[in-house]
Amino acid sequence: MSAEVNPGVRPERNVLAETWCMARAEAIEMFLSIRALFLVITYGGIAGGIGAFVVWIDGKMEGKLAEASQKAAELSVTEKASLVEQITKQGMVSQTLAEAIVNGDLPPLVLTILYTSTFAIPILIILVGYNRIAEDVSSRYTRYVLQRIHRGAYLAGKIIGHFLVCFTAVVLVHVLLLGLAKAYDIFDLGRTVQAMPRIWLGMACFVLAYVSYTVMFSSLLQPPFLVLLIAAMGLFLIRFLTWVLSFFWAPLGELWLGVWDVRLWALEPAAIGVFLGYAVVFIALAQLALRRRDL
Amino acid sequence: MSAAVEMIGVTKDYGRVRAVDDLSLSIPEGSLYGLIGPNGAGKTTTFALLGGFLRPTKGEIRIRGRQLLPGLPPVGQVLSLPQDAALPNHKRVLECLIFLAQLGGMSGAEARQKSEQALKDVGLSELADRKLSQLSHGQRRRVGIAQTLVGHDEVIMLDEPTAGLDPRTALELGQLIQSLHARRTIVLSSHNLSEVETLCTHAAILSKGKLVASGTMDEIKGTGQLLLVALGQPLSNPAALQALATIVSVRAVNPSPDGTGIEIQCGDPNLADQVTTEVLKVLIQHGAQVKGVERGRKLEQRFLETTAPTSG
Repeated sequence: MSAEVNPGVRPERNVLAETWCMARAEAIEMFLSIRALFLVITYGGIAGGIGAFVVWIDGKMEGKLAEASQKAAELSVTEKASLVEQITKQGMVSQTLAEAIVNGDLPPLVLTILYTSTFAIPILIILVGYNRIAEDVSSRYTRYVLQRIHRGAYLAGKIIGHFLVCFTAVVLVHVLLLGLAKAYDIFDLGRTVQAMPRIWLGMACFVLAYVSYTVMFSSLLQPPFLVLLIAAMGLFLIRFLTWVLSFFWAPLGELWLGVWDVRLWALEPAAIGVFLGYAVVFIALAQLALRRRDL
Repeated sequence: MSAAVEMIGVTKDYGRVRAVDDLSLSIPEGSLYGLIGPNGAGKTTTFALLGGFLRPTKGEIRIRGRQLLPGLPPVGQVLSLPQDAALPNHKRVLECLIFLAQLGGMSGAEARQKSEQALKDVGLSELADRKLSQLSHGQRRRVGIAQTLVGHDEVIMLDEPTAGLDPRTALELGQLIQSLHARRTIVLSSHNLSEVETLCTHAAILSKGKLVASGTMDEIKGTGQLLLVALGQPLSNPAALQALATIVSVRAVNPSPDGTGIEIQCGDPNLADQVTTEVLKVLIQHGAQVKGVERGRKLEQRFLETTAPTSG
């Protein structure tokens, strides 16, 4: 053994470059993992199954859902406004969402599929990445990594990598399902394709919030199994608590992300604000935990 | 010599257990510094504190003059081989090193070149494409050392680098550390005291989290202040001892109980060579059979003295 390595000139530290390096490695590793495939298969299976069921129901109703949607799009401005008012009054959906549906920006079939299948995404996001930081800390691999990059860059890299994998998997599932719909001429593909960029923007906020939620627990707790347990239980517990609180004072029911997701597909600013706000809080807590903890 | 690493009154508590107690150390730039102490002396905690992995309960740490702040570890200032830290098993050896090098700010080509060289340096070139899970403990240890080589001019800290290695690999690793030392400041801890004695220019001895001795290896061993003479048989002429006591700078002459050894304490380390020559002259003049002369104590002996239970 002999040391031939020339120490050379140390490059300037660049937090952005550190973040990108970490994110790239993280994304590649996760893309190639069995869990990314699991996310695609599970979410694809759920969304595809629900989609097939909704299309079947619509078929049984002789296309009445699609027909009503088509008719709504053909209404005059005043008629549309009146219809929006009626829908909003029932309290089922917000005004922006009702407008998006009545104007034909969001096909009801797609909305129904999204509404009923999105419940699975948070738990899948947790399953895909719950251990990404907790395992590094448990095995002390962080001691090799964090002598080279800043903790903030490490955390940002982990979040970006996790986000890219989950968001790509979700978009991939949507694209595959749209491909299937086109192959079998199932529904109005043109309007659906037009609606997708808006849906994906909303989905990006959705995925980011739950990735941040997962990363927060992964930074706060170890071992990894505990992260999985607490993060998954937390989802149900918070949803249940806010539901109970809503009986005492209705606005308390809107404290958690769960009730905002449908409004997200219509890109309602309040919904985007809630999701991004939660993401910021989760990331800040994760950063605080990582910065203060002994590794 | 400026200090590469300074610890000023550093204390680290784990709950109610004090792992490091008011430790002040100065590790000179360009030194090969040995950190030694019995199990539980606080060596690994000290390494983790210097790496910025642990936050001191009290005190201040400076790496090349820059104070370590909580949550802001010495990124790019220190590269360490941590004890009990695992590299990811599913990664391949070269891939893992390249990734760590790129994290350190190297381009892809530079990272590959340095990683391949580092693997060559630790004798693992042929295992570059193996998964880390397929390596033995010793081989993984060597990969851990290789990752400290894919940096620039960082201070290198090796926490028990030769633990679990076979004697030949440990010896080769010692040579590697020595050759690295030509360009870098290296801090290492080891239970192999003869290894530390051979390799290190400086050392510190820790016991129960406290610093009990530190300085250059000569200072620790008392090389310039202590002369140990081994005799073939006890002195027949007692006047020899009186003659030894009259040599310039000799402070005390203590024969061993069985008479086959003499411990001579010198006042001025700068006169140690002269004292040694004079001592030999006197002994030979008095007909003594000199078996050997040793300057200072063995590091092992100093270690045992300073870390004995009564020494606190």
